[in-house]
Amino acid sequence: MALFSVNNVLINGLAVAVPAQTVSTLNYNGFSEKEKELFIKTTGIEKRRIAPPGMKTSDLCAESARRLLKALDWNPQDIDVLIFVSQSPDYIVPATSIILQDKLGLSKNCMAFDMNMGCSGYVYGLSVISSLLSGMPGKKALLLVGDVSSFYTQENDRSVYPIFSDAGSATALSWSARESMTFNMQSDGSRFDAIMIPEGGMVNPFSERSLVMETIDRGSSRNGLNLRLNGIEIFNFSVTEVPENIMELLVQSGKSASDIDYYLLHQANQIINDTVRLKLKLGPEKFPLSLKDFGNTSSATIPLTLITQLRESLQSKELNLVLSGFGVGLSWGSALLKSRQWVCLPLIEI
Amino acid sequence: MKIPFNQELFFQKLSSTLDGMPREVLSPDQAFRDLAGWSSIQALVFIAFINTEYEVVISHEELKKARTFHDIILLIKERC
Repeated sequence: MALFSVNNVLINGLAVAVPAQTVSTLNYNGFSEKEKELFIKTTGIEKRRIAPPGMKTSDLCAESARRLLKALDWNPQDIDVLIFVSQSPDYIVPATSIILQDKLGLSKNCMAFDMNMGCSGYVYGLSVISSLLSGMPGKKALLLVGDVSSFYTQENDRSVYPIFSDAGSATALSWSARESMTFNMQSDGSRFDAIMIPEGGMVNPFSERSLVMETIDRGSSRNGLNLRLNGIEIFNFSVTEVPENIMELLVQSGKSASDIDYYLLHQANQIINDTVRLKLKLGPEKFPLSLKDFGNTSSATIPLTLITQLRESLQSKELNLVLSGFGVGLSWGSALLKSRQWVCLPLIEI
Repeated sequence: MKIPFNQELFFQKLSSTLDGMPREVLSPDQAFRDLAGWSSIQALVFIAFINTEYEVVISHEELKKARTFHDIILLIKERC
């Protein structure tokens, strides 16, 4: 296991932006009334945020970053590392992070690169940016994480459209002598096809075939450029690997489950999150959820849940947190850290 | 803790888990996909029920191959 600690890095603040447009499961035409009821009960998802055409992940992340830098009174020129974690970049080439370096007015001395990660992306991004910053005394960094997953779905695909939602986040970090975080990161490429977009890459280059619609279920259809997922395999993977990964992180860190104030799980769906929690033998009060109002925002679920469910506590208290991201890849990882009076902006709607 | 398999209890609990599925329509020989209202969400609830109650993992492929509740019960008995 890639289990390691990173010293001398502090999270200073967090901001999250979502599209203003809200859609409701109750208004989704792909489900019967009974199916809507069962879907809400099983997934916990009642509402989602959907980006209008033209709104990019980078727009949501950039707005979060601008407002966060202002709230922290940080000069953009002082940012030395920028990482953009997403599976919905502006272009295939070049990296969106480099475009954001210019858009945010960061210095040319800023190191900027993208990470192609989804549901585990916030924790993966945090592990990489903190590892870099750890060796850079006095420096500051921005971690931008998010996805506009609705871009990859067909509205009539009942297997994915009602689940996914859009959001972008910005996390500000700085070098700090007394702080540390511990990570436990894992991956399993043997199950790469459990969540995927099969066409448009080098294995299946874009062609006319990529746009051919296939019927997959009563009335549901999709093409080769659309996101697909195997719900049962994702469930089995999540409830088997995630509790084990978190327990290993706690044991290796010398912590017990009760030492943790909150567990921030990737918001996959309610049935997965509840089962993971039950396997950890913990009550729901330590597992905040944002699924009801925001659905599954892919890589942004953890910062979104922090902002929407714990903002006041994060601003006023010191909290022991476990963050756990898991999904597409398959890829999963957890982080143990202490929050210290973060600057947490109210949810931004654009 | 794993519990010994009890068929009646299995169907009782399944009936309450699969919201609105009456106990009397659930039997070992019943082809689960033929049940009124069966959907991919019901399938996920079913798999989650087995995982939570019996600590048994049923894969997507195994579920695809199975036809009746009996086929699934055999897998649970093999593994719990």
